[in-house]
Amino acid sequence: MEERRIGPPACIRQVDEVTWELPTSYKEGMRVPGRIIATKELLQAMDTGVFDQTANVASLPGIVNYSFCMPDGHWGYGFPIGGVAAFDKKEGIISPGGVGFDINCGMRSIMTPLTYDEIKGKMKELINTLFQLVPAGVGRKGFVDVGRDGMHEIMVQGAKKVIDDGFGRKEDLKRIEAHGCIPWADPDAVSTKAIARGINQIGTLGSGNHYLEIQVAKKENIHDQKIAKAFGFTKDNQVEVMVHCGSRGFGHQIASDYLKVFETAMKKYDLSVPDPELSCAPFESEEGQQYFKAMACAANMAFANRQVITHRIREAFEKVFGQTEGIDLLYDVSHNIAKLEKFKVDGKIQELVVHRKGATRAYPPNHPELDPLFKKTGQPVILGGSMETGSYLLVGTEEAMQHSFGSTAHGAGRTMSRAQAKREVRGDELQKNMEKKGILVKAVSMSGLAEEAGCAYKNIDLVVDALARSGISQPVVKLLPVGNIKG
Amino acid sequence: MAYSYVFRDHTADILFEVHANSSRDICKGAALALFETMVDPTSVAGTNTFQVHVDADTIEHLLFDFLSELIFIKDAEAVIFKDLSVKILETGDGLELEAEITGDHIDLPKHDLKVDVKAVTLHLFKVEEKDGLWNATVLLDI
Repeated sequence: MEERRIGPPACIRQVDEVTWELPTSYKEGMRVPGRIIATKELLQAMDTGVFDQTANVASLPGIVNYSFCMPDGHWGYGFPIGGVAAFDKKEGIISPGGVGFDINCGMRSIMTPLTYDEIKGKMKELINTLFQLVPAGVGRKGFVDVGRDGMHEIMVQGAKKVIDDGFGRKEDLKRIEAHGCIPWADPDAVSTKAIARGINQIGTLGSGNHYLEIQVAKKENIHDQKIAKAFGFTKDNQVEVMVHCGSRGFGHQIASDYLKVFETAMKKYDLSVPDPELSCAPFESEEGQQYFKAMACAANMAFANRQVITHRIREAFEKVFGQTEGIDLLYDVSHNIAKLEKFKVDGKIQELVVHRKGATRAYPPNHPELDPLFKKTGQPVILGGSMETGSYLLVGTEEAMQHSFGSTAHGAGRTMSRAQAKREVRGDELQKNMEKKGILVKAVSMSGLAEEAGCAYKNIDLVVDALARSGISQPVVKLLPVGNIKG
Repeated sequence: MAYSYVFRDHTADILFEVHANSSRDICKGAALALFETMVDPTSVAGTNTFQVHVDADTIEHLLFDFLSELIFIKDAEAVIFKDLSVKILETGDGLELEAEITGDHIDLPKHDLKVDVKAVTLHLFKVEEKDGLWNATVLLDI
């Protein structure tokens, strides 16, 4: 049995204030060094498993420059959570373990023109309405009946399909990573089981750490006035809504299906890996390409899922406050995905297979893939924190392009096991205490609520501090929770 | 019939060990640990039954595919499970598992739901037998 241990190995070397390098001598088979972005305090508190898993990723064929782990990193399976790695298209691999089971799990941030004073008298009604409109929890079905043809269109078109069906506005697409559609999706690469598992789950949150949260931007928590204004924060205590969820059972089944395919492919291509969850295949092999196409179908379903949820949020605000005007999508960004993206390596622009597992894309101002809306600001980065302590909006930077394959952190990062959180916190007591602090929570599961207590997570301020010092993204505004629904 | 299971600490996911006297009870114990991860089984009436059939070349693959199939049925049918009976047959090619599972269609106020399980992972996954005692380790992604 692998016991949980804390702290880095003795051989770790400090590169700069917040960059730490694991040399290739740390573990047999490492092709490149590992690099952990963290303050010393965060580094010392990381699971030892993080360093081991970062080293395992460094051993995969075709890896370019470094195997990265972000400051919110923690022990996962295959890649660490917070892992980023880019692979050469010709010599490199693709690994479902570098994406995770919840393909295109990601974050959405939705602006409102309302202030907390304007909503606080109706918070209970708002939370109850959202709880009704956005199903959460184990195995819950959504309200959208897409049918097999509709599911096929969602796999290919992503968010656009559900917007065409009335769940949102055309301009929402400008504010989604890849405009809400990964173009290389091919439904022929998806099993009938994956479709059967996910067809009824469009517009559902799921459970675990997935949530929908009402948040407030206090004037004193704005870090960059100019960009905050460009994002729509113009009033003190302005209300914003954050959503964290992914591709539900559809993506989970695709990942499970391909884990088996890759187990066989490893033998075919004579590959060996230190952890079976790192099973991989050459990117350009038949198996690698099939997974890449199926993963894109799941990514598109996740964009559609978050789009339907956004529509439900607009409906809830209309029902409770008689208002949908100004309930505008700010941004939607993935933190579990593998994509072909262009970066400068050894002075030349190269297309690489970038894996982000619990890590967010962080493109700088003027990046050609961003909509003109974000040319001046850079891409919004959404860091979902714990439901007790707050979340952040940041922006991508040129430093991220130069140092971390255009990637940054994705949240606060867990620091306590779920079992320990339940030993220390009772869900019903936590709910009462949060209400006293002005955070109204409605959860399907009380034990699930206890597992997500604020004390189970790292201090998100420290994570953001490490990001800002490294320069791979810069904070715009810290958002404090006032209401939360979860599975 | 004898089996037991125990949940271990893991930062983000659900890790459990199963100890049993037979390959059949290893599968049964692991399935019950999976059910208990998702719901308090005492809140499930068990009004529906589901048949599951899995073939595999090894006991590891059999347990992995069995648990994966249960997770698939949970979402595809929107159900939650209570209990099960399991039979394992040795065939010329490997192993066959037949299970009858009781459960309910998910009903939010009635069921004490816990956390959704996304998948069985291969990380730390193992099934071992020594002197007639079986041990399994399973990490669920939630």
